[in-house]
Amino acid sequence: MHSIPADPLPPSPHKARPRAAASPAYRAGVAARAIAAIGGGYLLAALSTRALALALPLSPVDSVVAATLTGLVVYPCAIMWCFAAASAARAWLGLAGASALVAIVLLLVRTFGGAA
Amino acid sequence: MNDLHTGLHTGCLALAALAAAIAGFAALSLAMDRHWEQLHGRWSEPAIPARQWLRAGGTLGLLASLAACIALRGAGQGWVAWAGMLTLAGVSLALTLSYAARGVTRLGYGAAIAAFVASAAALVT
Amino acid sequence: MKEGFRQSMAWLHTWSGLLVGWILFMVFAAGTASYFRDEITLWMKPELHAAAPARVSQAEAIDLAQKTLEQRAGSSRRWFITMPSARNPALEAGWVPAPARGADPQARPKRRTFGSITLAPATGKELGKARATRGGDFFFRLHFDLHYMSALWGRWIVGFCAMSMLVAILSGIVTHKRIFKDFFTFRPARGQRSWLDAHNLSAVLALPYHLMITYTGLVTLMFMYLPAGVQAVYHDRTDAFYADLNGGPAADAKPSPQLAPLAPLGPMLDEASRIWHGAPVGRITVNHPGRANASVNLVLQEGRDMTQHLPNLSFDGVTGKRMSGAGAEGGGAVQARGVMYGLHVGRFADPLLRALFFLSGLAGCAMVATGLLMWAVKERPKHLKARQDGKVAKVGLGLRLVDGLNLGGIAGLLLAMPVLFWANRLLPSGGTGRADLEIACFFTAWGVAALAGLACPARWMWRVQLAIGGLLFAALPLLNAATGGAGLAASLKNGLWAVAGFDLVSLLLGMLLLYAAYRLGSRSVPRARLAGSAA
Repeated sequence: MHSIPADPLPPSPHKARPRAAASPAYRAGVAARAIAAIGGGYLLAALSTRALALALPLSPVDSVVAATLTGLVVYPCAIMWCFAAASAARAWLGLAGASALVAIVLLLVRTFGGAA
Repeated sequence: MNDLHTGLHTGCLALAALAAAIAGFAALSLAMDRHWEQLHGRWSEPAIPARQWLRAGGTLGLLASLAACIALRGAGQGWVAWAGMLTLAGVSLALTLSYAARGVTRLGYGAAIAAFVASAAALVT
Repeated sequence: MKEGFRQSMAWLHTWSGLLVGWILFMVFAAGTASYFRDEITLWMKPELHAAAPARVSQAEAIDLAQKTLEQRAGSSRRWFITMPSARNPALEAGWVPAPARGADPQARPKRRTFGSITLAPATGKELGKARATRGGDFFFRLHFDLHYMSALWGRWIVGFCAMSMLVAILSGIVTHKRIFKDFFTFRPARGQRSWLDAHNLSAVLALPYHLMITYTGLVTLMFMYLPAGVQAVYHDRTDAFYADLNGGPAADAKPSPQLAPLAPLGPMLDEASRIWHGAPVGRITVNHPGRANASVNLVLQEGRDMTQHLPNLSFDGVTGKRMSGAGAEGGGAVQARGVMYGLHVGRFADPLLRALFFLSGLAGCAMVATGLLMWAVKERPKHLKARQDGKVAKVGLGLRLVDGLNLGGIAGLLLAMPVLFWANRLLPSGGTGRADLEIACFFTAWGVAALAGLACPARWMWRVQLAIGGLLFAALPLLNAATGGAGLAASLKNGLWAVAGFDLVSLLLGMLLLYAAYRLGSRSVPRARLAGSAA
């Protein structure tokens, strides 16, 4: 790579999806992903925080702090997943699946006392 | 008098940290095709040993800057100070390469000398 | 799949950045200013500039404070003392008013009735009632509480924007293919390319800072944003949680009916300083002075450790003996949070480190501003093409809105900030509601600028607003000297670095803005531009 290359700029939003740019289907897809990301992502973050807070083998205050710090990372990851997924349906499914997993962990921790 | 003494010591270390970072970034930038070309014309690139030396020297400069920062503020804050120094040095290099590319080698050598002098001064104060 | 991932992250980066960009610019600008909030407050209280000359030892200062408080507030239940420091040269003493006869001694007095006095530590003179002003605290609060709304709303809005910012940073890192190759790249005067380079540079060169400041910002309010953890373990007992988190302060005791003279505070400070290896004491709280159960709590002066959990020591108020040695405790997670909180607030930072933080904060402002402007620059050719093809009659609403918001949000804010300082000096120093009036001037100026920007988002409007902001900033040192503050000559001579620094930075900022206004005029406008469209 020698000369200043004519590299493509980050693609414009309108070319990010194979469908036509402003079609209703496109808009619906974006909206669906956004709801999954903002709402569903928060739920997943809250669930994982709850599960970790109960499951971590640290003192109560330490478990809560560590769990909440982690939850703040789970949220942006969930948001990014929702927009990286191949389709809006996949986004929802992935999020639902992850939430279900965490919910099961939470249930187990509640039932068997947790480590804290 | 003690205040002046510690002030000088701090100032020398800070200068050493910044100068070492600038020298390091200067070397690392020249190891990149794009910026080497700015000095030596299009389609040229540094020879393989030259590139290796530049990269090694550049890394050394950055590590020296880190050492100075840790000497300045201790282990925890030292890393924070280093990140700040790198930002300042990076901006300086970017602006130099855009507006005065010919001067990058001189900047690199000058900064390296300044770093040596400042660390020596820090050792005696 | 990899290309699809990068593309989707590019899309996410654009929208998570754009939709909240204007609020984020304000948060970054106000937050960066907050690194110097004490200095800003001092500048805005010119009556206190006389406190600076001559530095006194902690022993002298505490003696002065103790004598004054014994005179003024001998029967008070609690005293508060803030020692002079490099950031604030005055000695501040406060007290809780003694409860009225017959009133419930346990009732919490309203904050507004607290007595306070500010002293020049060298002369013991009471410094003239400094004018009422929020000072630098206005910017500090603005950047997370917003204003003219309940703090709760403000924090949720800023939290949402901060999370959006975190997503923008992370997606930006993923999208930036040539993060190393373009590390030093800046190609000026190339239109869209230059904006992109500027955005990349300001983002990448201070990337650790941006990641840190955004994440730690969320951390400071994380129990409000994600209460699920606290609820799961502590259920409703949030006060128990906070007691565990902060190392539990002693509960308020009733004042003992027995009177006993308060032991001299000087030796207590000496002992504390010795235990802390010479570090000075910052804040002192005296509970029930003059009673048998008096106690004194000393807190380390900020600026030594990164953590927000400052070590504190307690002494018996009558015997002067040390009671409990509480350092910064807590397990790993609590300490990690303390460090993160401390990193965000940055009060531990000495002048050098604070200057570096300030620079990085400015880089953050540049990153947000260039991002916002770049979106408009990229969109305009598409709209022009659509116009040329006859598809649409005029520039689309979205672009027009973004242009206007960019002008008002960036140039408008940069104009409003010095207006606050001008109002501080020009408004009469007495009168009620003065502090709020200063702030109203700030928002009025911003509002007018924003409306003007939305009405005419043209290049000349940019030049006008940047020029006004630049002039107002650059003239601040003159205003300072002319309205009773310590001008540059005086402040530099007396070592009043806080005020001198403010004057110099304002001058630099003003010159930068004026230069920007100048450059906007002399550059040739490429043919593809519509006459009158911005940037």
